[in-house]
Amino acid sequence: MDDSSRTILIVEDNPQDTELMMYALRENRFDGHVRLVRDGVEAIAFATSNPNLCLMLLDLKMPRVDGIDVLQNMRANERTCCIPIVILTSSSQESDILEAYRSGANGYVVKPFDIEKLSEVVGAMGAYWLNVNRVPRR
Amino acid sequence: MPEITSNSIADTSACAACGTPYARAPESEHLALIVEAAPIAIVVADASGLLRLVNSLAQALFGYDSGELVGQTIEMLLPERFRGAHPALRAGYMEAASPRPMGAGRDLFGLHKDGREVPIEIGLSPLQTSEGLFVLAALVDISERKQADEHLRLIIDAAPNANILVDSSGRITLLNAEAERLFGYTRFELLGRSIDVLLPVRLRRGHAGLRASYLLAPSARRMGAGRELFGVRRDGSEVPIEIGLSPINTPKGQFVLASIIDIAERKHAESLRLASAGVLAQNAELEALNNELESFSYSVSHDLRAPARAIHGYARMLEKRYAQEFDAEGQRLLSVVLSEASRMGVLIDEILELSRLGRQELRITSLDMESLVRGIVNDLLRRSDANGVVFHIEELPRAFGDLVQLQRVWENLLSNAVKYSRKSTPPTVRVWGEYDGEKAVYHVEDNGVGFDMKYAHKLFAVFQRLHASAEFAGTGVGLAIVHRVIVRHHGRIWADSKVGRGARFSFSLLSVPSHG
Repeated sequence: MDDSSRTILIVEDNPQDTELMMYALRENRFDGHVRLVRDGVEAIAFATSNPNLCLMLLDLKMPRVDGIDVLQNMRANERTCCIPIVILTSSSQESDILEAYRSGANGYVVKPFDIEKLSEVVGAMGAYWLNVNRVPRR
Repeated sequence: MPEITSNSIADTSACAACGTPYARAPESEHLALIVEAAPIAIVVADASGLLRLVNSLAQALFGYDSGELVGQTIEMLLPERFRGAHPALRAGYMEAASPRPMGAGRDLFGLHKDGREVPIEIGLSPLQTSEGLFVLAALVDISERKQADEHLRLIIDAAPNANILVDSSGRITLLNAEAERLFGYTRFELLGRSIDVLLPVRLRRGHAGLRASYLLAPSARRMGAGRELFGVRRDGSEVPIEIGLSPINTPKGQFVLASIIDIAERKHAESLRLASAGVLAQNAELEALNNELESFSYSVSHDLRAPARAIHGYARMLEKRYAQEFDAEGQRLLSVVLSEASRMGVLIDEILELSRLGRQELRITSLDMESLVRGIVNDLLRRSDANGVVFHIEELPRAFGDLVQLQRVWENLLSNAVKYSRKSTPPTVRVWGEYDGEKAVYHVEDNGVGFDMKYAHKLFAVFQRLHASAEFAGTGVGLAIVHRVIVRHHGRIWADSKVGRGARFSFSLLSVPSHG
């Protein structure tokens, strides 16, 4: 299995933030698929129908179904319960962090202001989560 | 009906002192019969004060047998202390004799044969007889009434508040020590005077009418329902009072007992209570307002963050992809956009932190300040900008505080010290502390550029900078954060400096004075 078959899903309603994240992923030379959805409903629909999804970068504050609902929904579904989900959000409120982890987040990252840092963070997350469930090559 | 006997007037015809027989006037018989028949104690004395008739009720009153009194001077029925003055009073009466009560207003006593004094009331009437002017004294034993009065007096005296007994004409007949104290009079100054002297002049006019209508339907009730009542003291000052009125019926007539409470203290306490309730309400309001402001500044800063990040990110993308296509001026303009956007980002993050610090719950533990400070200094030294700075860290007292927040305090103070002493040779930062009672006091001193104490009051305010940012980078939030944290810890922070001669920042925290 190479990166090209693996998919990262970005769940983000702010188009600028989305573009910045895409930029950061490109900077990190991620060569798999990057998909974008704009809210929680789309995120759940995508996750349940795409077995290649290997990382979800999830915003918390979204229209319709918000990030915490997406988390809980994903964790309750057998087909999606093991997909790594990292919260990537503007909120640095302790209550949000706690709630995210309680709802089954694998990580919580406050969107760095600086695009270089964003790039670093996204790169590091990708490197970690894309490899953590991989069967070692012979 | 007493038995009519002749012996009360028998043998009364001779002077007890000289034995001279009196001429028996025909009307004396009648008089003796009438006196004896009267339902009250009566004695009749002549102009020289000798007893001429004593009826059996009078004998019983004074404890004498028949015949023991007639012919004696009337003074033998008086307690010793009154005897001296009595003949003159008698003589005075004789000169303008008319029926009247004796000893107006004074308490009168008779002397019983066994030596005890009997409170009596005496009515005097002149009697013109053939033997000259006699005086008929009708006597009422008022022991029981006196006892009742005495009970009333004791009760009133024992009352914990001012009490004044007033008769139906508004005259003060009894008052207690509390009433004396409240109004500043002695009781002898008030007894017999109208109750009106205790009223402010402006209220006196209507008072007689009010008293009269009270007497028409007397009942125990509060006076002046709904109105504020005032008494006036001897010195003319007014005192706010509350008055309870109770009607008291006695054989002497209708009295009214006024029970008076000085409510000046209560009013004072009330106003204090209202004031403190006001302060509490104000505090709660301020706190609510403060919370509102905090969450406002938090959400504003938070919402500013996304567009600021976008500006910075897009400028960076522009730079990466198209920098070569710009000329030098274009590149300069782009770099200004980048650095300003970056500065805005730092500002927003610091405001967010300041706001978060204000809202975060403190997790208080006992802190080993010395190792905390040494750890932070090591971190600073690892960074290039603290290169060459000489640190002197002395033994530091422990204190209570939130580890994360106080870490931030030390980071800010120490990096400030490093920043502003960078140009000194060598830059030196000294940290020390001491116990001060239940507090620990810490000091961070540098040998840097210092500041003008004239601006010391601006030091801890948000966005206040005492140095040009071109000279020393910074946002002006760092010391505001330090201040916020120390204040939330109920500590105090202050600074001392001279331009060009370094600065010293000190703060205090609660501590336990031991090195445990």
